[in-house]
Formats: sequence, C-alpha cells, structure tokens
Amino acid sequence: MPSEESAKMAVLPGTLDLIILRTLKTMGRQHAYAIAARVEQISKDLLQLNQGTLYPALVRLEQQGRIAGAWRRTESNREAKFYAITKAGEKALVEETRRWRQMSGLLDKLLSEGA
Amino acid sequence: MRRFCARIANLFRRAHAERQMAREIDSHLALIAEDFERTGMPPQEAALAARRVYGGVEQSKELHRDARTFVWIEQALKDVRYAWRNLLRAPGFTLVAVVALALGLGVNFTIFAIYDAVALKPLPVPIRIALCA
Repeated sequence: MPSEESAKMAVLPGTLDLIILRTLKTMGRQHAYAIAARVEQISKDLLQLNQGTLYPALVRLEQQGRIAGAWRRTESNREAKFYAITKAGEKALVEETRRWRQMSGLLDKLLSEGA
Repeated sequence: MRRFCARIANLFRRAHAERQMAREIDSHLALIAEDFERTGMPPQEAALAARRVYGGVEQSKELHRDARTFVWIEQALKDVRYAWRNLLRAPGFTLVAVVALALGLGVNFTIFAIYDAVALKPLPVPIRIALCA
C-alpha cells in the first residue's frame, strides 16, 4: 500500500538510473509504479521517491537503449507501460555498480579516517 | 549519440510524445488509486490520494519534456510558427516590411558594389608602372 508521508530522505543525484536498472534486473519487467513501490519497500520507507521524478530517468534510460518500454496489461487488467532491462542496460549496470562501489568505498575511507 | 538522435526526433512528433506521456501518467495514477481502493477507500478519494502520492503531475510532465527533447528548440520552433501566423494575418504589413527590407538591402549592395569597384579594388597592375593614356 502506498504511504502518504512526506519524503524522509531524497534520492542522491545520479543514483536513480542505477536504482532503476538494478530493480528491473532483479524483478524483471515492471511498470513505473511497481518500481517506485519496490524501492520504497526495500528502503523500508526510509527513502521515498516522488513518483513523478522517475519519469525523466525512465525516458533517459529508454533513449539510451538501456531499457525498453512496451504497453501491456497488469494482473488487474489495466494498461501500463512495462519496462525491461536490455543487454546494453545490463552492461551499464555492471559498469555503474563498479563505479558506485569505488566511489562509496572511497568516501567511507575518507569519513572514517581519524574518527 | 543515440539519445541525441531520439531527442531530435521527438521535436517532430511532439503530439505523439505528449499523448504517450499522458497515457503513461494516467495509467500510473490509476494503479495507485487501485491500491487505495483495495483498502476500502471510495474511488473519488482514492483518485485524490493517488495524486498526492504521485507528487506534482504538471511538474512531472515538465521534467518528462525536459528529458525527452530539447525544450529550448521546441520553444524556438513555436515562436517561429507564431511569428509566421501573425505575418499571414496582416498581409499588408508583411508586404510593406518585405519590400522595405528588399529595397534597403538591394540599394546597399548596389552602392557598395560601385564603391568597391571604383575606390577599394586596386588596379590589376603594379603600383609603380605609370598608366599612360
């Protein structure tokens, strides 16, 4: 069930693409609402996406060929645009994950220094 | 590069892209509302709650447009079309403006061409050779 509380933590700029790619890789084909719901669930509602802000990222990823969108029916027989990760998307996911780990590792090291 | 081409292409099928976007956002709102209805909320309230959860619909459309195409080119094209329509609406004014511009440019070109030939271009002989009649 969607919660109506205000955002507790905003998405770090530049991480939304990675979040979407990873979610699609794990869950397979999904529509935008399911992606948002999944992210909120995983973060135990600590992170709340403004669902509208998913769209620029989805458009960008689709234009880059990292995801592919198609209209389908949901289980409740409503129409929705479902996105699936592509080959190029999987490659990008590996690369972006590596970069993110490198970056966060570096920050971790910096922040714990002399603490 | 691929993305650049897609954004250029979207300049020319704006109506289609707008429809697709509206359709997707509508379906998104319907899915959220459906979840609310499942908890026993009346449909009208659920639709409102869905909008609240979704966040600003219009802002999200603007973000969508920004990502999808080059908004500044799209707006420039709109301005050009607007100007063209206005010119067609006042053909008398348009005619006078076009004739005035044409005359102005034409006269300028002619006078400069004469001045150029008479005063600016050196004669095609070395300067030291005297020209005798």
